[in-house]
Amino acid sequence: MKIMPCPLNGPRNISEFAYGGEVLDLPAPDCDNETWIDFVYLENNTAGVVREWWYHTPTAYWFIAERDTRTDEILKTYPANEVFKDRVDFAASEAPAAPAAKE
Amino acid sequence: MPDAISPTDSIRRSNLYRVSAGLGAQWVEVNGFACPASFGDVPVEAQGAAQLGIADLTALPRAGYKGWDMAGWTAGQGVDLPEPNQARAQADGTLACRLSGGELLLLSDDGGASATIDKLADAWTKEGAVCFPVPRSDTNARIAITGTSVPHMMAKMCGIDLRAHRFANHAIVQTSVARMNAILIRNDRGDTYALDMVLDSASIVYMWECLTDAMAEFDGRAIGLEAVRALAG
Amino acid sequence: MSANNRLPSPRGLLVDRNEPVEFTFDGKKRVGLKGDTITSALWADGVKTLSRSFKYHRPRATLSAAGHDANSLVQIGDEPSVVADNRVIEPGMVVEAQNFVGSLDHDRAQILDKFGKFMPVGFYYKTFFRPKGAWKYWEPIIRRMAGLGKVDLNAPHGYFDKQYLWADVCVVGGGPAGMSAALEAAETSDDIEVVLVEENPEIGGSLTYARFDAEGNRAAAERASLISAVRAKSNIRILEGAYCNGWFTDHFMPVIQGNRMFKLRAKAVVVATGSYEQPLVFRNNDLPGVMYGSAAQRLMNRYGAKPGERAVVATSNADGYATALDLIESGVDVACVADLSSERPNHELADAVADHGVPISLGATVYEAVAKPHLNGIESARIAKITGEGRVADRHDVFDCDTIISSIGWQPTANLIWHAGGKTPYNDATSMFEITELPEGMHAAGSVAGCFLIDTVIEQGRAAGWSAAKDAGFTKSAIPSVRNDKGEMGQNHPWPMFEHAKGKDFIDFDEDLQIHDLNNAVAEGYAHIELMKRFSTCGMGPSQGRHSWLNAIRLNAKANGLSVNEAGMTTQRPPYTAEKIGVLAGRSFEPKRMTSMHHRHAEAGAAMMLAGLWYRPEVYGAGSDRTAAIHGEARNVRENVGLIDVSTLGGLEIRGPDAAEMMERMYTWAYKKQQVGRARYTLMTDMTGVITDDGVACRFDDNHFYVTATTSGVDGVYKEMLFWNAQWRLKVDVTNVTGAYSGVNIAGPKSREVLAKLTDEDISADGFPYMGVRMATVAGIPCRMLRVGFVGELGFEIHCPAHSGEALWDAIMEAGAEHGIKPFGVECQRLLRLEKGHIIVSQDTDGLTNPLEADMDWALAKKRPFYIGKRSIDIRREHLDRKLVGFELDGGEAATLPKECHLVIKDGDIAGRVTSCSYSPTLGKAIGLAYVELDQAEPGSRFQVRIDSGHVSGKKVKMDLNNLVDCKVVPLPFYDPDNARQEM
Repeated sequence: MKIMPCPLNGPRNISEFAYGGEVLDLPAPDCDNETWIDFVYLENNTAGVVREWWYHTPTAYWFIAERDTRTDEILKTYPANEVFKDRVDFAASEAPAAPAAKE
Repeated sequence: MPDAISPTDSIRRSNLYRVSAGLGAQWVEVNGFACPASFGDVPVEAQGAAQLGIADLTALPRAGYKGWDMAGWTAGQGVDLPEPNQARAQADGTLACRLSGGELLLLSDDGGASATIDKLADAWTKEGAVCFPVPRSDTNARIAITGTSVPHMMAKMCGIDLRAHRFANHAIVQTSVARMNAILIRNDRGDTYALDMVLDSASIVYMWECLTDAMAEFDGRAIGLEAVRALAG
Repeated sequence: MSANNRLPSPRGLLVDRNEPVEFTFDGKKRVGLKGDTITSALWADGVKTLSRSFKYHRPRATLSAAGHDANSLVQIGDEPSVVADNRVIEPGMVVEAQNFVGSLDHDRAQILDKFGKFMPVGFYYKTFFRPKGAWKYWEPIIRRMAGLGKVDLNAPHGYFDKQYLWADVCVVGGGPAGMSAALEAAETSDDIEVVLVEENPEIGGSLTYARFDAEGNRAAAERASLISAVRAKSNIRILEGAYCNGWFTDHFMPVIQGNRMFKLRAKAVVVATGSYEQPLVFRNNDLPGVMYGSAAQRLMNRYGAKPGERAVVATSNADGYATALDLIESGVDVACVADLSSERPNHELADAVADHGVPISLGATVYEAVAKPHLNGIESARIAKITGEGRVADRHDVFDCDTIISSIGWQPTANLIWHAGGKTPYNDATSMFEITELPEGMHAAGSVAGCFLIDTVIEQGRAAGWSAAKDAGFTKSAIPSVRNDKGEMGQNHPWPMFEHAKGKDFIDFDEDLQIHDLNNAVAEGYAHIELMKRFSTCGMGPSQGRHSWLNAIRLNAKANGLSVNEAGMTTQRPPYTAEKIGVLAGRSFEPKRMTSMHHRHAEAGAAMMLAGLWYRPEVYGAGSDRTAAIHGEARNVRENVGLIDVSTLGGLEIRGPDAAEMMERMYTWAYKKQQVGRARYTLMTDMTGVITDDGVACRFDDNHFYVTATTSGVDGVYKEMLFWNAQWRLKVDVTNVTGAYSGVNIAGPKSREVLAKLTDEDISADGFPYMGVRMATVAGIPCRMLRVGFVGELGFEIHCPAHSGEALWDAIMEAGAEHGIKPFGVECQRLLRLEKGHIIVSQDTDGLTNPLEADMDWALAKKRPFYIGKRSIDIRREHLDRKLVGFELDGGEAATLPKECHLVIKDGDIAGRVTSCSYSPTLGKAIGLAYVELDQAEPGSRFQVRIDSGHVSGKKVKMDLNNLVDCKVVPLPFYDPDNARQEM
C-alpha cells in the first residue's frame, strides 16, 4: 500500500485518503459553453507531474499533492492555502453569456 | 462505594450503557451521566488495567472549537495551545488537543475537572466570532485504553504505529480504527501507557465489540473510572 | 513404525526421537516423530506416494521435499490442498490423499496414463465443446476427475485476523544470507528494528540440510553460530513458520503466520529467499523415488529419513556430489554419479565421492527411469552419454536403484523482487536468471542473488543488511566487503532436458506437461510465451512455475528460435504462494452506527434495515403481514400521531459572516434573504447540474445556518463544502454535527397536543408556524425544534443532543400514549412522502437527474451568477428530454404494481422507468413516480410500463414482454395538494 505524506497528519496509508481530481481553475460563470463543458467533463490526463487534490478522510482535510503520473511518485504535498491565497468572488454579470438565464 | 444509581435515571446516557450493565457495572454519577465506576473489584481491575483495559469515559466533559482563528481566540482566553496533532495538559487538568491549525478538542481529566471548558463556554459569543463551538460531548464517545499491551492490540485495528517509543505521550493521530474514523490521543495515566479514543458516539457499541475481540489474546478487560483513576495514582 | 528408514543422529536435526506422533494417512495409522512434516514422517514409515497426478493419475511422491510441486498436496479434515512437505504433523491428524478414484494405491483413473497420446496439449479446449451443449455434460465429470481436494461447505468458520507490523529493515528468508543480513542490520544500532521472516518452523535455511564441504562440518558450525547470534539480538523479531506473500508499494508486505496476516511496513527490505532446485527432465522423471538433491538432503538431514536403499545421482554441479556424500554416509548405496559435464569437476566434494569408490560417468545423464509395475517406484535408471543439446547416445547402462537424485541447477526465488519491479534477465553464460536491477530500498543476498558459496553468501548477507540499514537511516562504518567467488555449487546446466520417444518426460508435474506438449503448443501457433502458458497451462498449477518455468522458457525460446531473454518472462504477481481466503478476509470489520434510540426500536419489534452504516427501523412488528403493518403505521400518522427516529439525518453547521454566501454557492435556492427563525428547502447539484442531495436549512442567526442532509449524502456534502471553501476562502466554518444530534419527527393531527405536554414553548399555529425553527426545551432537554416534515401532516422535528435521544424518545412516547402514538418506520415514511410527491434523492433521482427534470425549477435561483451546477443546468434547460411525473393506476388495491426500475415502454422502445410505486391506503389507489418522455408528461397523459411478473387483469402471469400496465399521469402531490394538513 502506497504512503501519502499528508501536510497535516504526516505519512499515512493511501487508504485514508480520497482523490479529488486535478487542481483546475474554475472558469468564469459567463464563459462560453465549450470552456464550461471542457471544465466539467474533460480530464487533462497529463503524463507527467500534475497537481492534484487529495482529501484525508479522518480529518476532513483537503490538500494538494504534486504527483508524477508516469511513475506514481508523489513529489510533494502542501496545504491548499499555498495556492489559493485569496477570497474568490463571483461578480454578478449584467449580461450572462449563457442563453439559459431567461426569466 | 458508588451509590446504587441506574443509567436510565439520567437524561444523558452513553450509548454503551446496556453493554456496561451487562458486564456488571457499578455506576457513579459524572457530568449528568451514569458512568461505570467499576465492574466489581477495583484493585484487581487496576492491576488488569496496567496490562490492558478499556473504559467507557463518555460521561466526562468534552468541548471543541473550530474556525479560522481558533488559535487566536483560545490563546486569548488563556489556553496553552500545542502544535497540531499534539495535546497539552492545562493547569486545571483539562487536556487541550489540537486537531489542526483551526480546531481544538478539550477533554477533561479523569476527575471530570472542566474549568477550561467552562471558561471558554462562558466567554464565547456569536458576535464577532472567529471560531465556533463543536458539540464534542454528543458527537463523540470516549474510550480510555490502558496498559502495556495497548499498542500490540491496536495494531490489529489500526495502521498507525502506536508503540511507546514511536508515539510519544500527548501525541495525537486522527485515523481509521476498525474502519471507523477516530481520534487517538496518547494520554498516559501515571506510568501506564494509555490512549484516549474519541470516536463517533453512534459507533461506540461497534468499537467496543472490536476492542473486546482484539484484546482477548492479551487478557484485556473492561475497567471502570475508578481503575483508570487508580492508575494515575 | 518402520525403523528401517529412520537414520541415526545427527541426521534428523528437526525431529525429536523421544516423541512419537501418531496420525493417519489414507485411513491407516502412521507414526512419525515430533518435528516431522507429513512427507518426512510417511517417508520414514515407508510411504512414498502422496498423491495422484492431475491429468494421468500417476502416483506421485515428494520431488522437492519443500512444497515446490503439487505432488505433496493432501487434505486434512476440511482443509484441502495442504502442502505435506511443509506441514508439521500433530497427534491425531487425519491426512487424506487427493485426486484419485478408488484408492491412492490403486487409482482406477490411472488408466488415463495409457491414453496419454489421445490427450494432447489443449485437449479440453479441442474436445469437449462439440457438439453444442456437450460441455454441460463433460464439465462435472472433468471437474470431479481433475479437482484437487474437497471443499467442505459445512466447515466451521475459523478465526482469522490481521495485524500491522513495522520494521526498519525486513529480511525475508532465514537462511545464512538472511540471518547474516539481519545481524548486520541489527548491529548498526540498538534502536533499529529488524524483522526476520522465515517460512520454515525454524530459521537456518540451507544450513539445516545442505552440505558445503567434504567433511560435512561447515553447515553445523555456521548454523550454530548464526542462529544463536540472531536469537540473542533483542532488536531482531523473528517470525518463523511465516511467509511473505508479496511486495506492495512502499515496502508494504503481507506476512502470513498461521491464521494471522501481518501487514508489515518496512523502510528497507533484504530479499534472502533462496532458490528453487530445478528438475532434470527425462522419461518417468516423476516416479516416486525421483527427487532433487536438496530434497534428499532435507529428508536425511532435517528429518532423519533415509531416501532409499540404492541411488543414482545425476548432476552438473557440486551440489550433486554433496548429496552423494550425505547419501553414502546415511548408508545409501550410491550406484553411480552421472555428471552432465564432460570434464571431471575440480573440487573436494567430487574427490571425496570418488574416494568412496563410486563410479562417476562424465558427460552422461539419466535419460529414463524404468518403472516398477503400476508405476509404484523405480526399478532401474538408464544412463547414456550426452551427444548434444537434449540428445543422448543410443547405447546406455542400466543401474538397478530405487532412488534417482538430480542436481542440475536452480531458479532464484525472486518473486518479491519481481513484484517490486526488479530486473532479472537470463544470463546465457551461467544459464540463470540473475538480478541486474533492484528497486529503491531493496537488497538481495544468497542464492536468490545467484550465490551458493557459503562464505560469499554470508558476506553478501552482511552487505545487504548494511545497505538496508543505511536506507532505513542507520549507518555503521563501511559496507562489509564481499569476496568475488561464487564457487562450484549452484551452477545451472544449460539444457537439462532429454526428450524420450515414448514421452512421460515431465516439465510441469502439476499439470502433467511433457516436452512435446510445450513444443506442440508453439507449433500450433501459441508461440508467444504468454500464449504458450495459457494454452498449455504450464506454470498455472499450484506450484506456479516454481519447478517448471525455467525449462518451459528455454523450450519456448528454442522452438521460436529466440534467446531466452527475447522469449521473455511472464509477469509475476502476488501472491507468492497459496493463501487462504480467511487470511485475506481477516476480521472483516463492518462498522455499524446505531442511534441512541436503537434499542427502543428493537424492543418495539422493529425490523431493522441498513442505511449507509446506520441501522434504521424499517417497519415495526411486521409479523406475517408487512404491508398491513406499514399501512397501519401510515394510518396512525394520518389520523392520529406517529413518531419516527430521524437521528441518521445529516446535520451541518454553517457559521460565520459568509454563511449565507456559502449557502448560496452550494445550494440552488436563495438564502441571503431567508429570515432568521425560518427553514427553507435545500437542493444541491454537482458541477454537471445533477441533483446530489437535499434537506432543509434552518437559519438560527444571520451568521448561522443549520442544514440537514440525507443520511447517506451528508459525508459527501460536507466534503464538497470543504473542497470548495479550500479554494474560495470565505469567512465561514462548516462543521459536520450529524453524530451530535439525535432526532425525531412527531407527525399527525395530534402531534401538537402531545408535544405541548413536554414544552413551555408556544407551539400554536400562530406562535410557531409551518417552516419555523427555534431552540426549545423539550422534556427538559435542550433541543432544536423545526416545524418541517415531508409526510404531509402537522408535525415537528426535534433534534436533541445525541446522548439524550433515548430520554427524548421515552418522554414523547409516554406523553403520546393516551393519544395513541405509535412509532413508524422508514417504509411508512417513504409511503407518506410519496403521497406528498416528495422525491427521495437517489431513489427518485439517478446519476443524471437535473432539477428541471424533477420539476424543481422553483428551487433554482435565476439571478445569481453562480451556484455549483448553475451553469450546467442553464445549458441543460435547452436539452430536456425526460421528466419525473406522478402517476396512478386503475384497479385500486387489486392493481398490479410496477416495481422500481420497471421500464416505461413507448412504441416498443424504452422511454423511461418507474422510480417509486406503492399502494396508498390513504388515497385508495396505487401511485408512483416515473421518468417519461416530454410528450407523455402532462397530467392526463397515459403511458405503459412493462412488468416482469405478477398479476395482469386478475390473472397471474409469467415474465412476458407484453406484460404492460397502463398508467395515468396526475399532478403532484397526490395527497392534500393545498398543504392544509401540514400547515394547520
